[in-house]
Amino acid sequence: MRTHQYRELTECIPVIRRYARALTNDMHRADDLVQDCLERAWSRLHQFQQGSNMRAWLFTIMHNIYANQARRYNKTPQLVDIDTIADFPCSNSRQELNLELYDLEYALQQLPHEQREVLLLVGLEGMRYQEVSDIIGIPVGTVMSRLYRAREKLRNIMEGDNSIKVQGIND
Amino acid sequence: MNSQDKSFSESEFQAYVDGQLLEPRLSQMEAFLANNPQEAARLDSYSQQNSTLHAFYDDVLQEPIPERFLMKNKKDKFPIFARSAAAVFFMAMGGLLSFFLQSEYFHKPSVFTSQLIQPAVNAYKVYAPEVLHAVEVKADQQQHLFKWLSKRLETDIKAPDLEGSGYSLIGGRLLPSRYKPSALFMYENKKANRVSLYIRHHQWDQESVLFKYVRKDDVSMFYWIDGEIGYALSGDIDKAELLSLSHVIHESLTR
Repeated sequence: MRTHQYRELTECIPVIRRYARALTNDMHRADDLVQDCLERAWSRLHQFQQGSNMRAWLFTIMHNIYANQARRYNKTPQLVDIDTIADFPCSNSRQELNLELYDLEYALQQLPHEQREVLLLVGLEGMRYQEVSDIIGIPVGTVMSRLYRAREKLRNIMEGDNSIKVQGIND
Repeated sequence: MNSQDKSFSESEFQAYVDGQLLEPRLSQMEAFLANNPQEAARLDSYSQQNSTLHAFYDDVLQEPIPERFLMKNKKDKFPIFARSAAAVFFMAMGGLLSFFLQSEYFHKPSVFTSQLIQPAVNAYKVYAPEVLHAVEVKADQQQHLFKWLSKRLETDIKAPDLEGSGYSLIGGRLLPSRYKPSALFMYENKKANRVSLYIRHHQWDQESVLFKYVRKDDVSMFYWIDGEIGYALSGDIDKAELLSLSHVIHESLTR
């Protein structure tokens, strides 16, 4: 029975690692997050109820660690200041913006961490809304509104670039 | 809201995107979207966000799991002699495994392939054939170019001078890649042979890798790692010439 749980937990590692990577956009921070999460999980594996959802359990642990850390990291957002990179020749600025359009990671980092979390659990991990609600400990209605706001914000970032692109073409 | 209602809540729109909308609302939604291209486009852009997320992050699933993630405190489960025997066994297996992993046959796709070789090959194949738009910023504005790329890659970036080997710098461009963008410089010789130098700032597993040769999709390449910077010189030229260019670049960058 124990071996079974050991295997089940090990099999979840790549998935929580992918999630951590997308959440933090930093390989080292992500792996530290995974390690913190796994250390807790290994030490409490005996408390884990046979037959309950291992993946949800791990994501819940990770959410709690991340939420604590996010409060700390929130003060130092890792954004690229667009003003500091605008000093290269104008004729090329359109292509530069075009590239940003594909830079979903950059856009992701502009979301508040609560929205990013919901977006990734649904969009990347393919979870059901109820599951996300259980993991984060918020009502389904809040899951839905965070999801909507996250998606709209990403879309705006991308379409913001589009409008500039269209202007450029019309010049 | 009853199920006959033809207006949809925002939650139902989201649920449609995530495949979590149930019948009969699903069919009603499909009918609604067929007549509302603007809403359809909005939802389509949400779906694309989902697929872009997978495109960006799914290769993390293939990365080998670091030892430190696996359970450490299995103590007390086995008596001491069993643990020693197991230790000897695992060390022997580890030796065998590392032997196989290092041998050519078991050389599976590494972080170098996904983060350096493949993107560099792709960049070469896309931009080297471009006559007018091979680069974003031309060599005559190279001070701007270096400054810009250095800012975006968060490290000092310069295009080495290859005039002595017969290759002139055409210019360079920024490329999207994971974590930080990458840079590409394009060079050309008198016979219009082009080589491209792809530069990637990344946390590599190894601090130093020297001049590895690969040939992929009809493109020859030497790549090397110097600290956090990975370089890949690609071209469709003779292997010896490519290697000698790599040496010139390496020397000029480490000087």
